[in-house]
Amino acid sequence: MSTILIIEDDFMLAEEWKHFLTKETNHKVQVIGKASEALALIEQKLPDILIADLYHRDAFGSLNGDNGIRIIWPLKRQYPQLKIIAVTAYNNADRVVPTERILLNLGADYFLGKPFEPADLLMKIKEVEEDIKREQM
Amino acid sequence: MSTIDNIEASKALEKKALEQCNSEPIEWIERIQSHGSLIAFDFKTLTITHVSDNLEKVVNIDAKSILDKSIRVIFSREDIHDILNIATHASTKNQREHVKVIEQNDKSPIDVSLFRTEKSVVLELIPAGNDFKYININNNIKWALAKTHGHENIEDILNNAVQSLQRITGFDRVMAYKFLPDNSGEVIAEAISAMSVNSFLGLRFPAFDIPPRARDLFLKNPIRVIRNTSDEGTKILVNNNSDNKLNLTYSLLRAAAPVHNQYLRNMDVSSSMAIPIIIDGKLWGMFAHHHNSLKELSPQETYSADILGQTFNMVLEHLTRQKAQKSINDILENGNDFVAIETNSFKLDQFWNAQAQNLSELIPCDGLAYFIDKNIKTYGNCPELNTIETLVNQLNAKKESIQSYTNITEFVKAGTNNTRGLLFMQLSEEFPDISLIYFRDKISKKIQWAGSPDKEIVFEKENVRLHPRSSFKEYIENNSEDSDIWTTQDLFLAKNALDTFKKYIQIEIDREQYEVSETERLKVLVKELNHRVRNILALVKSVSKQTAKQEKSVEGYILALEKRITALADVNNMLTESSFASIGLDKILKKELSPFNINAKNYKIEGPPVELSSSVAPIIVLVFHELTTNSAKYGSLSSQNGSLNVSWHTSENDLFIFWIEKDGPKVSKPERKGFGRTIIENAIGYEFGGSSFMNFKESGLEVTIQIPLSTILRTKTEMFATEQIKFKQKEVKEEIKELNILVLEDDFIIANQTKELIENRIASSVDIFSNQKSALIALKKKTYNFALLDVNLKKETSLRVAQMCNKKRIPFHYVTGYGDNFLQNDAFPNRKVLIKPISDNQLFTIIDKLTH
Repeated sequence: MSTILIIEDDFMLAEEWKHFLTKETNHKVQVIGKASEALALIEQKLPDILIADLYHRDAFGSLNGDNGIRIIWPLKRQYPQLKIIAVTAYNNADRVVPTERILLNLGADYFLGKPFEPADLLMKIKEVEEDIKREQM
Repeated sequence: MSTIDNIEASKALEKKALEQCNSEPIEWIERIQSHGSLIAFDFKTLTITHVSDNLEKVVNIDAKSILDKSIRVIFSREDIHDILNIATHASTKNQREHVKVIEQNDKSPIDVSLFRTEKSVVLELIPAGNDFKYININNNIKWALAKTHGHENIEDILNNAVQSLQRITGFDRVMAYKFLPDNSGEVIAEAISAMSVNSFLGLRFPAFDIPPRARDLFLKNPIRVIRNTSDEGTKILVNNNSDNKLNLTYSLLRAAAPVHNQYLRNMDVSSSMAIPIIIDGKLWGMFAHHHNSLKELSPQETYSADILGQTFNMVLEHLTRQKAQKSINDILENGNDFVAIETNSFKLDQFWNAQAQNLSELIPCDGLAYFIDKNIKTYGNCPELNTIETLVNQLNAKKESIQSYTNITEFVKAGTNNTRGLLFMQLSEEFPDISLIYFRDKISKKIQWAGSPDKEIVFEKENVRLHPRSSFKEYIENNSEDSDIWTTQDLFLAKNALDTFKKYIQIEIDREQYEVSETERLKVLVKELNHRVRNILALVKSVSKQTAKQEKSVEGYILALEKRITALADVNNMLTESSFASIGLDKILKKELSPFNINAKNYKIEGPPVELSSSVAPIIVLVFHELTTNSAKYGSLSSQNGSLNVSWHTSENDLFIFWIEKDGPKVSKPERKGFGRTIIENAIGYEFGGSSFMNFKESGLEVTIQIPLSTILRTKTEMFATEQIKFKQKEVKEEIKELNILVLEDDFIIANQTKELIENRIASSVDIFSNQKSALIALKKKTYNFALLDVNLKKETSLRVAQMCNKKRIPFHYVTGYGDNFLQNDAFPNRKVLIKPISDNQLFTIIDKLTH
């Protein structure tokens, strides 16, 4: 089972996901509220999968806030093997350049637009794990 | 139509109207209250599927224009972000969650909350009011909770709660209802702000005031607000692609059913708010808020009331549990047993004397009964005992552990006395069958209904509908046949008590069963003790008689007797130490030979560990005592050079003991056969079906003893036949005997003593047997004139021999060292019982009668 780090400022939501993932599977899940704290953790121990919420309430829409979006690109460059699932409630598919495209260009490997069910998140994690297996073969 | 027909038709209509009311799809109602708006969008596509027709009034957007559009067309990207974030919470599937307050330029700020249905996210938009002010929910809760401190009574807590809610929300009237098991509700606390508002305190509202569907919704939604009872509501528009109605279970805006609005208006209520009180997952009661004029309750005030209500719920649930548990603990801590198994009437009486009053105080009642394994104990006013038994049988058949009734005449007609109400608790279903039953007398009671509870029916086109009553003035109903109703509180207490008692009873049954087995063990031990004491007394008596025969001087007699008795006393001590279980063979020998270990030890004991059962040990002890005494007088132990070697080994079936004396005085076979030799040579064979051989070698006595292991270990119920043991005296006298007497006695010495006594007293031939098998064989072959039967024969009783004697009409007496407990078994034919030890005179009286 993979080790997973979740960056999400809504702690109730983060704990809900953690509870679901650890109850349904044997994933080792850690949750953290700020991107900067996540960076420090990743430097100590690299997880298999990073789930990063892009924008937090205190710095909504800002690339300079302590958000997930700020660390996607540097992380991907430093740890190309790290799989990143970007999640956001700011998922406008109707924009000229859809949010998903922007995120993938930034270095995220996968995308989940809020709202979603915890089961959707698990399915996405399984998809990532399948890809990791394929790459290792 | 006749009057009866009219009544029947009226009842049918009423039933139809009630069913219609109960099936009213209130959560699927397609309207909301018009002071707020509703927007629902698809969880996956974010497309708007439902919108309330009044959207423009709240957010300046035409409702119809946004159907099928993305939710993004209404809200800013920041608001969308917040809405979608909250919608991601799983909790929104079963409760409404606050999202935020959105400021509007030209309108009142809007409070946004949402909940989810199967496929949709439902947003509720409610104007926060221009005078929107920050409500300190924390302070409200702290203040309200502080008022409950120091109160332990639920009624006091509710009184304080209604006062607090009334002050915080500003409603004219706040009432606390308590629901009764028949679903009617009684107002048990009330706070009123204006003198113009009528008091409903103490009134009872019939069950159909809150239909079952509404009760279900109260369990799911912690608050219900009806802003304006005259509001007909706003229709919810549905997009073309969706024909689904919205499930509004968790909605705050759900429109009220017209009948309910009418009901409230009849009560002069313009605005209402209800907060359910849920205890143990069940609707216990409700805080009902009424306002005679329109009440502008801001969303923030609603949240505050919602949280306050839930906090009171927790306080009440905690208090109810605590109170129930305290009463139950008082009973349990009284240190009396709930379980008095079987016929332990003393224990049951003790329990009942101590607990009946406590139990009666647990739930208000006029009497109660405790039923355990067909025993009934009553306290206070109860039906007749046989009526209680009938009731218990009928209620047990229903397989429900808690049952309550207000009129038991539906089960039993006779013997009810004044009792009508019954609360039945089945504490233990299996053995022992235990029930606790609370009784209430029939009462002449007045029920104060809030208006006549008779339902009113109106016809609406093809349908019939219940019409809410127009008057809520006190309506007194008199009832003199039923008991007072068992309240939800009573049933809650009963459930708590049942759960606790059940656990306690299980522990107690386990403990009692353990105690029973421990008591049984002690009983057996005491029985064994009695048996041994009586047998030993008999043995001592025999030994003393036999010793007297052998010893010529008084001093010699006293010395020999003392030694023999000491040997028996020693073995008895050893048996007592081992709780009559067993003694090691080596221990017996060491004890017996220890006086000869003064200087250099001239004896040796060797052999594997062998444990002798309590029934075997005394005879073995006597055998070794006789051998030791003999050796000390005439054999190797009498000289300094002599040596004694006692060894043993076991084969598959037998224990072999070798007693070998060497280097002592020369040995020759004695001509006379004394008591000691009789014991050595005959006792082993008689008692255990083994053998003993004495070889008087010149170099020293050699004795070989063989004892079947099965006898020592008591594994076989049948002893070995010993009828082949012949006695010289018998052979001589056999021809001239007039009476044939059978003695069944497993103790050789006692049997031999009895035989000698009888044969010396009257002309007789006495056959002695140590077990049933040999006695039964003899009974088939020979006719006996009398028999003496020892009841307890090691691992068997003399039952079959007694039955055979009875069948053959042979007179007989029982002899027992156990008292007559065995004979309580009806299978034993009824005969005279002699208790060991039997005195010579006793025996002579019996046998003398035989000759007459």
